[in-house]
Amino acid sequence: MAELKKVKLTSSEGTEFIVDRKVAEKSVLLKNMLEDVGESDMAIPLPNVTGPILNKVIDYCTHHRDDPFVNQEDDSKKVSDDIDDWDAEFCKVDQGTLFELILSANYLDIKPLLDLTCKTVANMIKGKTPDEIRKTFNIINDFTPEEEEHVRKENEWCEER
Amino acid sequence: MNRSYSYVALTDFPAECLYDIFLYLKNDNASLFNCLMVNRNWCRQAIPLLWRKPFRDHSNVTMPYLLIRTYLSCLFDNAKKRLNAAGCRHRTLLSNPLFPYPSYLRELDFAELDNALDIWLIYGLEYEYEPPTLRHVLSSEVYKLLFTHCKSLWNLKIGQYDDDYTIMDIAQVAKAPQTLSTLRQFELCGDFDCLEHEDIDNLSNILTTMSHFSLNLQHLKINLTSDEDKCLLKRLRRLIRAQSSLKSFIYSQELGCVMDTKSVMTALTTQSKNLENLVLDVVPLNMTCLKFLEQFSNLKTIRFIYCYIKSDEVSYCKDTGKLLDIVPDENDVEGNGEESWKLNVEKLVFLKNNFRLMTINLVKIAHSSLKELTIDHATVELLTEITHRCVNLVYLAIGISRIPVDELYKISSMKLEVLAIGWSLSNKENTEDLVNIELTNEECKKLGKFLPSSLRHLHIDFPMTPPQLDTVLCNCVMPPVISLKFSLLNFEKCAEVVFKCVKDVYGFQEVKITKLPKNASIMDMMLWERNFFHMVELGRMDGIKVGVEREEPFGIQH
Repeated sequence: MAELKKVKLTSSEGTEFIVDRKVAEKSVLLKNMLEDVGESDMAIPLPNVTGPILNKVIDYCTHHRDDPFVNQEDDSKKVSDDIDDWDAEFCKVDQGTLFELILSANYLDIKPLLDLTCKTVANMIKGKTPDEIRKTFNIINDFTPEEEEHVRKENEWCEER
Repeated sequence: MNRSYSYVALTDFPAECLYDIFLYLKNDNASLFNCLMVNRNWCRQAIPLLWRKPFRDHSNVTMPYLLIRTYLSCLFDNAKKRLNAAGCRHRTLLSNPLFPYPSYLRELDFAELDNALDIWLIYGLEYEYEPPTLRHVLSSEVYKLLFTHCKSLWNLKIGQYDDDYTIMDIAQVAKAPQTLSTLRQFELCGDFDCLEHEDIDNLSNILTTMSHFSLNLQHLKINLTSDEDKCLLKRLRRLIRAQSSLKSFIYSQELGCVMDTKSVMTALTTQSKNLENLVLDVVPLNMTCLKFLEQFSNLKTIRFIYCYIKSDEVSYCKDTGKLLDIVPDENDVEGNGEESWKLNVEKLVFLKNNFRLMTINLVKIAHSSLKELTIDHATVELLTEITHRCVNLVYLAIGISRIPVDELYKISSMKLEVLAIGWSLSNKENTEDLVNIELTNEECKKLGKFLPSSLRHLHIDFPMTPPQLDTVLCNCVMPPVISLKFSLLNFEKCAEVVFKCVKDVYGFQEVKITKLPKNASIMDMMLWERNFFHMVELGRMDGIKVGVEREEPFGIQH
């Protein structure tokens, strides 16, 4: 059996990870880089991803290594209630980790991971009032009272009553 | 919960990530509204999504009024002056908007917009009478506003099933060509025979403009209830020919003639490299019309629904007396079974059509390219052709009311992965040629034995009695997934039978229960839900997964 090709990745703190090339190629960024540099033992630095987050990203890519590539340009198919059990368990992390996963998936260009994590946050938003959303995500309301009223009035056609 | 690795907050997110999150709420206006009230940044990201299809799904009658009110605040000063001159004294005309709301519009249905304008007139006027020209000026200004400022209109629908409506000539708007150039989907459906000449002219102008500028449609749906002078059809053919990447075409023409079908099919051949899905729904047909399909190289699906054979047809224009249609070759109306051409298509669907021979001939000429086939009323002859010729078929949905169960042994040799069996699929059906009026115990036994061992999914799309179900399931090689339709009365007993039959089957994955039709009564829906959740509970105790079957193999939605 042919030996699986390995790739070295370095997180922002300098921790080295060795992964199968097939796993690394779930990231479009890494796939393009690997195609550009060809065969090389040099580690690829990922200054925007911390070690623990990279570890989680590798977990995800390893689990989904055989999934077909889905080109979902059409956002009409985006629905938030189709998360499978493994993915739901994977997303049971604290907010900070979840947000870092989104940023890393965006940076590494791993569309299915970005979709999954965005869906998870969208599900956290659903059914909450603006005040509850602010409390959940620790967001400061920077509207002036006049602005807030103006925005509400222009968009009140979709306010749930 | 795992421990926290970092202190990133949602407020640190780049705009595109926040937008990606909001995309999952795009059909949930109430949640999007709550998002836009969170803070300025969230507001900027949520507003464009909220205003993509603002006319859809209004749950209360004041919503369209409030929506139009905001759009009116976006009008330029001179437009507001024109409205004022027409008798509108609404205070909205004094305010200016925070966002360029019309620019975000992606989907527009003329009927929904007209309805919203009507509602605005009812709730928006501050006096009891409607000034005579106000409706027209209001429509004209709002249509102009949308077609001038909309940056990326994707979907447009024109037409209503109504005998009293008008069509605004948006082709007259200076920026309309630019707005229409971004369209991906266009739907023209409605009663056109009740339109005034002026509205027909307006519609014709829109179609002509579209045939020059809307060149990248991917989905086109046309339902012409009446088009006696063929003026709309002529423009629609031009629109079809102008396309560069049409993928899906749905065509209905209830009162049309075969020559119309033929002319549309001829125009459609210009899309022969791109077209993937073709739906002919209530269309007069014959084999000569369909021969144009020979030229298509990328077809994935063709659906024939409520289509009917027409031959030897002569018709005249009511007004001019001019001859419109003649189909001379009546011998080959359904084909002679010796067609020399090949149909390259992966999936064929035949539902509620009035022809049988043409179905057989189409299956014959598609033969090995076919992977999926749906036929609501198959015959023995057709089944024989399917089993002999369609060697690559993996999905078969078949109505067996006209096939003696003994003949179903033919299915057993097929390499099917999915088999859906329907029975007595229409209430209006002529029952004389139905052979399976009631399945006997012996027939159920045979049905079970004849099911191919390659099946991954068996879908029985009609309710069986518990003994019938027991006999079928006990005599078949159980596939990993079965979908069943239960009658409400026998639900409990059917569930017992199913669990008994599947619980010791190695590799069994799921029982799926078919939902009731959408027009079922609320009482029946509630009863079904109660039964279903009870079955889920029972299944959990036996370690058997129970889910809902959402696919309708013989459903006519597309």
